[in-house]
Amino acid sequence: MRVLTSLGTLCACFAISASAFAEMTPIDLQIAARALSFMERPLSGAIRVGILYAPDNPRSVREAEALRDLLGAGVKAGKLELQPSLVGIREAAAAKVDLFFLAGFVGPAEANAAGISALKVPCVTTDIAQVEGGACLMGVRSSPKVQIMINRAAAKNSGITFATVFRVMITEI
Amino acid sequence: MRSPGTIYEQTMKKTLMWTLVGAAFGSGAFAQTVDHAALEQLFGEPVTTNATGSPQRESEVPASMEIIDAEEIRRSGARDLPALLRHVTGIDVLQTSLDYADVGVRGYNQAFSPRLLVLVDNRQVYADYYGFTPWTSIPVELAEIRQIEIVRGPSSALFGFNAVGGVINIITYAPRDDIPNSAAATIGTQGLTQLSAMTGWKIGETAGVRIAVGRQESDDFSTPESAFDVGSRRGNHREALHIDGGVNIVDGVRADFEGTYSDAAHPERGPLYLTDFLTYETHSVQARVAAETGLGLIEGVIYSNDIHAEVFPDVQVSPFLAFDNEVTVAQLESVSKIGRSHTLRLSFERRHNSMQTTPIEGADVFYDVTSFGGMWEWKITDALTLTNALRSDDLRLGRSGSVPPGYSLQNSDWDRSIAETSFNSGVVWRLTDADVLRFMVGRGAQLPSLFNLGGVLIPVPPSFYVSGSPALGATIVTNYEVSWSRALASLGATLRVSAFRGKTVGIVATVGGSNIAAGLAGLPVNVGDSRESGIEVAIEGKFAGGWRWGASYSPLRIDDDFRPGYTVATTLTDFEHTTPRHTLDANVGWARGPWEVDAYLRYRSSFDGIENALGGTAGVLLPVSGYVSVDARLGYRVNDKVTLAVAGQGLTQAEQVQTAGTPAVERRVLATVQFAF
Repeated sequence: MRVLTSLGTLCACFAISASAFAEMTPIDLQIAARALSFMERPLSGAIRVGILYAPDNPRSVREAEALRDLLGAGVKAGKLELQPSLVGIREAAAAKVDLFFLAGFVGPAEANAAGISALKVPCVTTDIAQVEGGACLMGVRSSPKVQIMINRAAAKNSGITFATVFRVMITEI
Repeated sequence: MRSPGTIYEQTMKKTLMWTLVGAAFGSGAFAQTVDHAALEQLFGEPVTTNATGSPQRESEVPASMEIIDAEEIRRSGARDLPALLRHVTGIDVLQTSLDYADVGVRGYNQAFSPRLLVLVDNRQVYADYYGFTPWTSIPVELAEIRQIEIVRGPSSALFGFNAVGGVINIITYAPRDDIPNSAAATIGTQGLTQLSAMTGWKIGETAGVRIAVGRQESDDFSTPESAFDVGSRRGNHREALHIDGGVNIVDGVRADFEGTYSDAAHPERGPLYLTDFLTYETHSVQARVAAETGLGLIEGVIYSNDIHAEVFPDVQVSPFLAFDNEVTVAQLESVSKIGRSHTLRLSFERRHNSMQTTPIEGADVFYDVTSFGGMWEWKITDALTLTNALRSDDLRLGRSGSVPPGYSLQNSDWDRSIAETSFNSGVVWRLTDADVLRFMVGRGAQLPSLFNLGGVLIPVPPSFYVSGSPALGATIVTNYEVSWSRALASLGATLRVSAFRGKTVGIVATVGGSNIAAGLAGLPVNVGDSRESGIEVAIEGKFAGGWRWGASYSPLRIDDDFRPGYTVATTLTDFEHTTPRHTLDANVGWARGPWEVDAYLRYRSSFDGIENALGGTAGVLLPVSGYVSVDARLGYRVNDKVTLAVAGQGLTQAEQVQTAGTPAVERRVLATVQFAF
């Protein structure tokens, strides 16, 4: 079994390191919205989405703006209508939003310092490292196959729980 | 000794008690509790609970599974389930009349094949008194099916007795789904007229009801039949009703209810390899409650099936038989996630099954089964998952009621128990993003049917009885399998290669034993063992321009090892010679604009079929030549509401011999108009 575990770990590391971060696509958006419907107290209807970014990092700004443009004045995803606004990472605590999308190129220390999970607002990102680091609740990836990762500690801090049928089908760390 | 009445009363009280326990705690096997639509949209692939009892993506199940979705069902052109299943790799369909076919998984197909567990939304729908499946009596319309999940190999650790050859779980649209309201009318050869309709209503945001109805009339094949079978063609018909409703009681607690009815009649080949005219009337009721709790998802289910079947005698020697069979099942189970890597499923089931003896009435043969099961899934890494499932079944057999004069068995001979343990273990190893390896081993137990345990009691003057035997043992099936699947991105295809080896111990032959001194003849008996080994190579994919295609090759070898004296001539049982060594399947489909064209081809190499030799219990093997059959469908969508289709089965020949001892199968051509509203 030790051999199997080792080999499996190698494969897992390969899979994650191959594409640890990717810009959020429309498909990722749909996946995120559908995944959030498995919260035990799910969001519904028009949702204010705060797109968190690092104002000091031009790449992060560009990605946040691209995500905002993708959402436009509001886009339907699952049962949600996502209405975006840009929120600097250091302004997260003051943001009046129902959901955070964490853009790429935000430093791990900066993201953790923002204390997103303590805000009781779900956070979604395609930057898996931010989920592994505990800064963000949920990571989604649509390619090559749909993968969803939940940080259990972040979920606990946020007071967010998910349905059992969802939890048994995703990766929890 | 306890009196028969006392035993029966105690049995019913116990069943009721366990039933109430189950009902108080909640629901069943998660087939309708799991929101298949939402999970499929989320993960981009079908989701099933049929492999481990816990929801899983099709690509991650530790089982040899194939899922047929609603689109594939619609484009198959099939008007019934066997016609659809014949296109599936590893599925063997022996069509013995227009509306009856025996369906087997990986060989071991025989008349009244008892090795297949068939479920609709996890409720068993096979005829439990013998373990076979009269497909037309299943109260489900093709249009209400979301997906059909087919497991090849034993799954007894999840489903209990009889899931030894494979499992077919038909998942219908849940009442909470956006029901695709539809109606269809079909006319065809063999005088076929068929009507089917389905509609649903959502009641607010939390409740819904769905109703499906179907009716059909037809003649049977007109090809020549055996002298023993003349008189079995009396006109086929089927009526079915399926009502399903559900409501979210409060957040996290859901209740569902179901009621069904079916009435069907047609000729079919029975276990003596004689064709009779049979009628079926079935009813079922089911209640299910599921709750999301701090311990995970807990579900309780209670359902009751009853089936009344009558066998009408032809000019042959068969007597008039009437089967009354009632099954009550209470299930309680939970699925929970432990830590970050472990999923645990615990289950309890209590089952009562009884049938009235026939043709001599006045007694019941029954059993109660108490079952405990567990499944542990360990996600060792993102790429490696180990699943183990274990189940114990404890059966208590009994008989109550009168004993006819001269019958050498007493009710006390049925006071015995059968205890069996089943397991399934599987490793799923995702080598790369494209490659998945699976290693699987399973052990399942096939219970002797009530028919063979004494439900049939036929007087043979002056002093004999053809009887079942309460001494029969269970049949044990073990299976070892390794499979590799690879996504071929450049072809837009998926390749699957499986190799398996299995052993069956204690095969039951319905006839072949006797105890002349005790005045018993035609006794069922455990005749011996059998081994099988096979390979399945299957590839399917899609091309740009609306093309889809698939092909598979399935060599299979079976070696019987029956005890001396138990040959097909004495037991009507043989698997070694009656299983084709080679099966090839291919399909191609194209859709563009309003047009859809699909074709399916199957080749089966030559084999021997069993024919009843003298109208009694003696059999002979007759060669059946290899054959190619082709099914096809042409569809045209007139507008968003109306679709026209022409479909056919067995198109290459006007009539084709596909079995021994039954009429040749005729070409069937159907024309359908379908309305969506």
